[in-house]
Amino acid sequence: MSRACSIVIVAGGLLLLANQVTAAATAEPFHWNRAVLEIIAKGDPVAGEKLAKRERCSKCHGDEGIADEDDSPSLAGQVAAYHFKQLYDYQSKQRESRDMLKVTRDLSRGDMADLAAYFATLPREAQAGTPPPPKLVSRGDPRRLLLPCAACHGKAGEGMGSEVPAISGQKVEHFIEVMERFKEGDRSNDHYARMRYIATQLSSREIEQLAAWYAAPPMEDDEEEGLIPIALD
Amino acid sequence: MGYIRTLLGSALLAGTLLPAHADNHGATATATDADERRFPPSYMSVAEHRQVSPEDWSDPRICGQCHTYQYEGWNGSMHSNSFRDPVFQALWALAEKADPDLRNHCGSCHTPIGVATDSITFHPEKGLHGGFSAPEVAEMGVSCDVCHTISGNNLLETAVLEHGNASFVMDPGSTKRASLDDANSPYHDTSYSDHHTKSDFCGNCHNIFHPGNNFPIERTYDEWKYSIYAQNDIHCQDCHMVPVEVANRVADTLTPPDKLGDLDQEGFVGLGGPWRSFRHKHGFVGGNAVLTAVLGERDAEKPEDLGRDSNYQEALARLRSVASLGLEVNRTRNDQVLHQLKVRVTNERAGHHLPTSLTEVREIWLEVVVTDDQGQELMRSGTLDDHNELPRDTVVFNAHAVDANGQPTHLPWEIVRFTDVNTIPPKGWKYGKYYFNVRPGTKEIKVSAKLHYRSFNQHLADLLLGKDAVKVPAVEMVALEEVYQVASLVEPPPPAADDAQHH
Repeated sequence: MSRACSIVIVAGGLLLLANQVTAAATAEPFHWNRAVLEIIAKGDPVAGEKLAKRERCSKCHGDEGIADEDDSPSLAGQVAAYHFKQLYDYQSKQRESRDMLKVTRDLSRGDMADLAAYFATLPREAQAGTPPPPKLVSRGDPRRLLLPCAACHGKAGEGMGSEVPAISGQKVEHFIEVMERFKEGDRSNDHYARMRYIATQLSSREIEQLAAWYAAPPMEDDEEEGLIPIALD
Repeated sequence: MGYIRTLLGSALLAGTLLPAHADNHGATATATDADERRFPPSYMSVAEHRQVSPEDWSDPRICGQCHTYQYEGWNGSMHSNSFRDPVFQALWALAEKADPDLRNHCGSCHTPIGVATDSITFHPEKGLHGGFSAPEVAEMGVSCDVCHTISGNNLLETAVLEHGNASFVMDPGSTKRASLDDANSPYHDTSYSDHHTKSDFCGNCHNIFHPGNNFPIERTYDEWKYSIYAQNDIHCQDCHMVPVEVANRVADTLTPPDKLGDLDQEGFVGLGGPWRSFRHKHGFVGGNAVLTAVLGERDAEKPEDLGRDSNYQEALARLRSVASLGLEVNRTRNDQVLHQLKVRVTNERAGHHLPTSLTEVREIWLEVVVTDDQGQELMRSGTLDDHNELPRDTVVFNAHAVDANGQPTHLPWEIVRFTDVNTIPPKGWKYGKYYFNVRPGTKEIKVSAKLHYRSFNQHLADLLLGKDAVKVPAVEMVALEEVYQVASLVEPPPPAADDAQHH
């Protein structure tokens, strides 16, 4: 066997090993831990912007992270840690999408953090003030064990902490599709089945109302109805 | 308060059952103050004497949507089943029939919301002895909002000037109290509560004295209070709100978990909140593995069933790591034939006695078998019989309770005294002692010892749930087997001062 041939075989073996390592890593369901949070914290928005251009994210998610089509999600202003998890879940097939699997297949954890950091810096779609929120947003429904949406997603749907996505300014059709997929169990990458439970308690009409309101909620600094702890009427 | 008052009255007349200090407090508290308390004979109160309704407390499934890690631990726990527990329901029904005033005595810890809102209904036709119902949130027992809205205790109001008999103050509302001093929630107010970090909190229910004669029936808090764990500032929460692996380290080193390091207990404690270096488990798992195993169907896909299996496994793990066994075989002095076997049982890792709680009901016992090198059984003790009962000569670590007539009883409201207490204190030990003969020519003997636990005996199960309704399961806690050369056996050393012998 020639030396060159040996190098090719060794290199091929290393490549195979590397792929196996990657595959093994991506097969693991997502798990919050300190190491993951540190990776997310190191996300570089400048690198993320370059990567977004290279991956042509704008094709579906718009030039500034605001989708042109109503059935595609806007990513502008999304909570970085939540966004990171979604990219991870697409790659590990915990969240199903042929297109997003293709996009995320070769992303490293650092790439995901950069992309998430970039989109988090973009301003959400500007919205005019709208009527008071549906009761489900501010009061929930204790009879169905539903917390107010605002308890987790924030008063104006701005998201919270690491785990809760921003849903303010989200596209109506996309919002409805996501909720319906939770409801049917077709999407199951929500920890502890939280959103699956909530979605099963909502009628299609209620989901549509929520989608419409969150597409144009009041601005965060607007006067608005405070969050009311739920109590039986 | 028919039964309680009758018993108290006869005790006072006899002038012998109550110690002097308890006599004063007990008589005063029970006969006078009790009538002024809102939920007698319980010492529970509601802040500012407010009238409350079940809707004043949040459903734990609501809490669980943000505090899912905690909900997962609580769900399926004894706290979550404290009302539904069929054994408790049957015992409570018998208490109700003996004296309806006992409803609050039992209910105030098993369904605090039910008692505080006077919303418990007794159904005499239900089950073998009757059963109870309450609004759904009250049937969820000791739930999130019950504990996290408690604002203090009434221990100085009790007949024994100590924690017990639901000596807590309920203050339902927006403010949730817990051990974090920087908590912030968009949904409810938060308040740091030192009370919630200490045994002082748990003792309000895990210390129960008879409401009439003040006899201490369950002494878990007291057992802890006078233990080396309390001396080292290790509280109930430090062992029962951490995984068993951490609890074992706490017990082995007598070091609180926050000083141990490498706990692997990081995580989010609330949805949308910051990453915390430590979060508490909320299963409060102890040794009662029976109920967590048999109550309700489990479905890993259903959010409401989160955690049920893990609590059962946790209970088994705790039972299997809490005690140790040691063996000692000697020739008996002045007798070349009869041999003595001592089995030492050590409470290695419980900060209270083994067993604790209803010690007249719980059973921890030794099963011991000695065989020779021909396979001949030389001695056997503690093997359950065909009726799932223990032979009379079994070494059992528990207490024997009797009523006012000196008759054995398992019914807490009938208890006047214990005739025998053989529980094992924290870091202490007790012995089972046995004798056996060895046949001539025997070279080796094999000693097999096992320690078993069950929450209650078959007799009580038959009484409460019906004959043969359930076969009470037992858990093998620890086992030890050793082979001895007969020729090497020597006479025992002089008795040591710490040989608290039994059997």
